[in-house]
Amino acid sequence: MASDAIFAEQGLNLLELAHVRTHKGPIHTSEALDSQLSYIEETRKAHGYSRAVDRLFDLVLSYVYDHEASWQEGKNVIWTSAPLFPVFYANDVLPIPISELGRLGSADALTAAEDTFHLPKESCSMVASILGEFYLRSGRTPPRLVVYNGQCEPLNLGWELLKDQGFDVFRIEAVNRPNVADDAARVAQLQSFFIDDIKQVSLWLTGKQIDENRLAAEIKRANRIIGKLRRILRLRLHNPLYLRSLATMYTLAGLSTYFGKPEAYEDVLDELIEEFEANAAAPIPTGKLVRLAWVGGRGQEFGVYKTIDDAGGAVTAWHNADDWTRDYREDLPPLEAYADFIITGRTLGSPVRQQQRIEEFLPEFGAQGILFYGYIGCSFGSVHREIQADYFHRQGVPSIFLEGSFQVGPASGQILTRVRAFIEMLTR
Amino acid sequence: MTNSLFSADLLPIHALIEAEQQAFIADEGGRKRAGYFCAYTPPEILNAAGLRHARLFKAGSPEIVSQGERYTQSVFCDFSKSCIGAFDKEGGDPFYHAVDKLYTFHTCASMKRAAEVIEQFVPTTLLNLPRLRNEAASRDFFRSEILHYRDDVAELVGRAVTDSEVSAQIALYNKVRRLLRDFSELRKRPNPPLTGLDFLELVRGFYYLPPATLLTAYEKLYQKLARTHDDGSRPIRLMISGSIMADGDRRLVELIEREIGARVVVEDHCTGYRPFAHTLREDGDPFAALADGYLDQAPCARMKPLDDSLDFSTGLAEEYGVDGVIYVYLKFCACYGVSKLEFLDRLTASGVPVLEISSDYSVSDIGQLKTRVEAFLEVLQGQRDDRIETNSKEHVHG
Repeated sequence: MASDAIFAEQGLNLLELAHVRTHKGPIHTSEALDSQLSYIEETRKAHGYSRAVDRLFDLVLSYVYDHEASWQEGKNVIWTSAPLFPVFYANDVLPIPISELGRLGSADALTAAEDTFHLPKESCSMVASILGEFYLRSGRTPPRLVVYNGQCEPLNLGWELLKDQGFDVFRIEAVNRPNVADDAARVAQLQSFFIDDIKQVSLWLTGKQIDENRLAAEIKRANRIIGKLRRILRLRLHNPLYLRSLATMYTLAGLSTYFGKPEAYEDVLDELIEEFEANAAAPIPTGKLVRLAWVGGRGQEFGVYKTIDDAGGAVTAWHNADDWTRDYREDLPPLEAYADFIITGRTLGSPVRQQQRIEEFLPEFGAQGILFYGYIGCSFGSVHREIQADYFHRQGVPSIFLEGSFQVGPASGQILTRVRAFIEMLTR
Repeated sequence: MTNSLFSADLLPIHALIEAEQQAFIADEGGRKRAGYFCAYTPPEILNAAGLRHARLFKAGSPEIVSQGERYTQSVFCDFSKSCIGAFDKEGGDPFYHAVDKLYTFHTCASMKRAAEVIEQFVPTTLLNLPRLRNEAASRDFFRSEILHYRDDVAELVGRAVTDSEVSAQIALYNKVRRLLRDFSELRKRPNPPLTGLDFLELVRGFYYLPPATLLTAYEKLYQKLARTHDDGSRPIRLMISGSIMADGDRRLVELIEREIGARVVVEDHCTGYRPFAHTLREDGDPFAALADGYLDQAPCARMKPLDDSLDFSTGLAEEYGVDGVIYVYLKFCACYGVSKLEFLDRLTASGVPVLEISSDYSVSDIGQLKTRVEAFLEVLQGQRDDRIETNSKEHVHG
C-alpha cells in the first residue's frame, strides 16, 4: 500500500506524519481532475502519511466490484436505497448502496437513460445516472433491488422502469414522521408498521424470518461504530486537515454501509483513532482555517471537497444520510430499536426537525458557515435548503447553495469559484 | 355555447361554485375552513365534522407560479409552485388565505415539499399515504393514518367525529360519485351532450360545493342532459391522460374543443373522471372503507405497481371508444414525466394513437401547442376516414 511504502521509505512514526508533505507528483488543480476516481486517488496521495486512509479507500474502491464478484459466486447480494444495512447483515445479505452508482456512472449512463427510458430533459441527474448505469450493468450485476418508498418520486418511478430491464424490486413502504411534532402514540404506530416492513423484507431476501439475536448483535456493532465515528469527528477538530474533507465524507459514508466489510471498516476506524490520538500532541496550526458544515447530499463532484480544503476551509460538521449523532436504543427489543432509530431520526423528514439537529451540533464543530448541497434538477432538496438557509441566516450563520451533478465528471468551474469566494468571505 | 368555457346549462352550477367560494373567503357562518390538495384526501371526514372545505387546486396563472418561486427553485412543477404561491401572504390568493387548516397526505414528493413550505403560512397536518396499494399492510396503515386525520379534524372543530357520521358521509359522497359517473356515461354517446369543459366544471363543483347542494343541482342537470338527442356529426373523441389539470388550467381543452372542434370524452387525471371511477363500501368499519376505497380508486402514477395505472388508462380509452389520447405531463412532474414512456408504449400497443405534450402554466407556447394538436387531430381524422371507407367497402362487397 502507498502509506506502507512511505513508512518504510522515510522511517516515520505517526507523530511526525502530520508534518510531512508526501505528495511527489505534479500538483493538479481541481479542474484538471476529470473524474471521481482521480479525486480519490489524489486524496489518497495527499494522505500518504495515513495507513488508515489508504485502507479506507481500498474499501471504497473495491466495494462494488467485490460484491458483484460475490454475486457471480452465488452469494446473496442486493442493491439498495433503504436504510436497512444492519438488517441486511443480520440476514447474511451483502448490500450495495445505489448511491455508489453515481461514482461509477458515466456520461454513457446519461445517454443510455435518455435513449432507453426517454426521461424528460428536466429530470434530475441522479435519477438519470442511476437508471442509465443499471441499464448498462444489467446482466453482470445483482438484479435484486430493495428500495425505500420514502424517497423522491423520480426514483420511485424509476424503479418501475427497471422492472422492464429484468430487475426484481422489493419496496419498503414509505413511513416517515412528516410533522415537526407528533404524539408518542403516532410514532409508535409508525414504528409498528416499519417493523412489519423489516420482517417482510427479510422474508423476501432469505425466505426466513429475521434472526432477532443477529439483529441485536448488529445494533451493538452499529452503536460501537457510531461511537468511534463521533470520536473521530471530535479528534479531527484539533487537526481537520489530517483527514481531509473528502476522506471524512467517505469515513462517514461507511457508517451506513461499512463498505460491505464491517470488520475491516471498524479496523480502519480504530486505526484512524490511533493516528489522531498519536497526532494530538502536535496539531497543525489551523488558526485561520474556516470550519464549515455540509448539509444535503454527499455529492459526487469531489472537486468541491478538494476546493474547500485547498481554499483554506474544512468541513467539520455533517448533516446527510449518515446519522452519527445518536445511538440505537439497546434497552428495546432489536426490531423496535431499529424502527425507533429510523422513525425518530432527524436526517430525513420534516426540514424543521432536521434544522434542529443541525443547530445542535454546529457550535461543537465550530462551523462558521453552511454549504447546502443538492443535485441539479432535484426540486425536493431545494425546498429544505431554502427553509433552512433562511432560518440560519436569521441566526447569523451564512450559507451557500451548491448544485452539482450526480454522475462522473469534473465539478463545474462556477461551483468551485463560488466555494472559494464563500470561504474567502468567511476568512475576512 | 356561451362566452364562458362551458355550456349554458352549466351556468347555474358555475354560479353556485362562485357563491360558495365567496362564502368561504367571507367566513360566512363562522365555520372553520379546511383545505386539501390531493384526491387521496377523503373529504368525507371534513364534511362529517361540519367544516367548510375545498380541494385546493386553483392554478394556471404564471404570476402565482412566480410567487411560489420565491420559495422554490424553477425545477418544481408549476402546480406545486402555485400551491405555495397562492398561500404566500404577500400576494397569493384570498381563497387560500382563508384556509384555517391544511390537510395533506404525502402524495408526490413535490407536494410534500410544498406543504413543508406552506406550514409556515397556515397550520398544516401531513399524513402518510402508502404507495403499495394492493398490500393488506398498506390498508391497515392507511386506516390508522385516516384515524389520525379524523382526530386532528375533531380537535379543529372541538368535538368528536362519530363513526355513524362518517358512514353517512361515505354514502352521501358515493351518491355524488355515482352521479358524476352517470354524467360521464353520457359522454360515451357518439355525440355527447356535454363537453370536456363541462365535465371539468362539474368536477370543480365536486371539490368546492357541499355534497347535498351539489346533488340537488346536478340531478336536475343530469335529467336534462340525458334527454338530449344523440344526433349531429360525431366529433373526434379524445382522452386526456397524465398530470393534474388545475382549476384554471383550461387552455388545452379549450383549444381542442373550442378552436379545433374535437371533443374530450374522458379524462385519466385526478381532476377529471378518474377519482369517480370507484365507489366506497358502505357497510362495516367506515375507516376501513375509506382506506380501502381511496386505495382502490383509479390510481395516480404515484401508486405502485405502475401497471395498475397503465391498465386503467388503456381500459378507459377503450371503454370510451376514443380516437386518440393526449398525454399531458407538467414539466417537472415526476409521476407522469418519468413514467411517460410506459404510458405511451402501453396505449400505443393497445392501438390508440397518442400525442405527448409537456406542459406548464406559461402562455408563450400556445401557438406551438395549437399546431401540434391540429396535426395530431388531422392524423386521427385521416385514420377515421380510412376506417369508414374500409367499412363501407366491406359492406358493399359483403
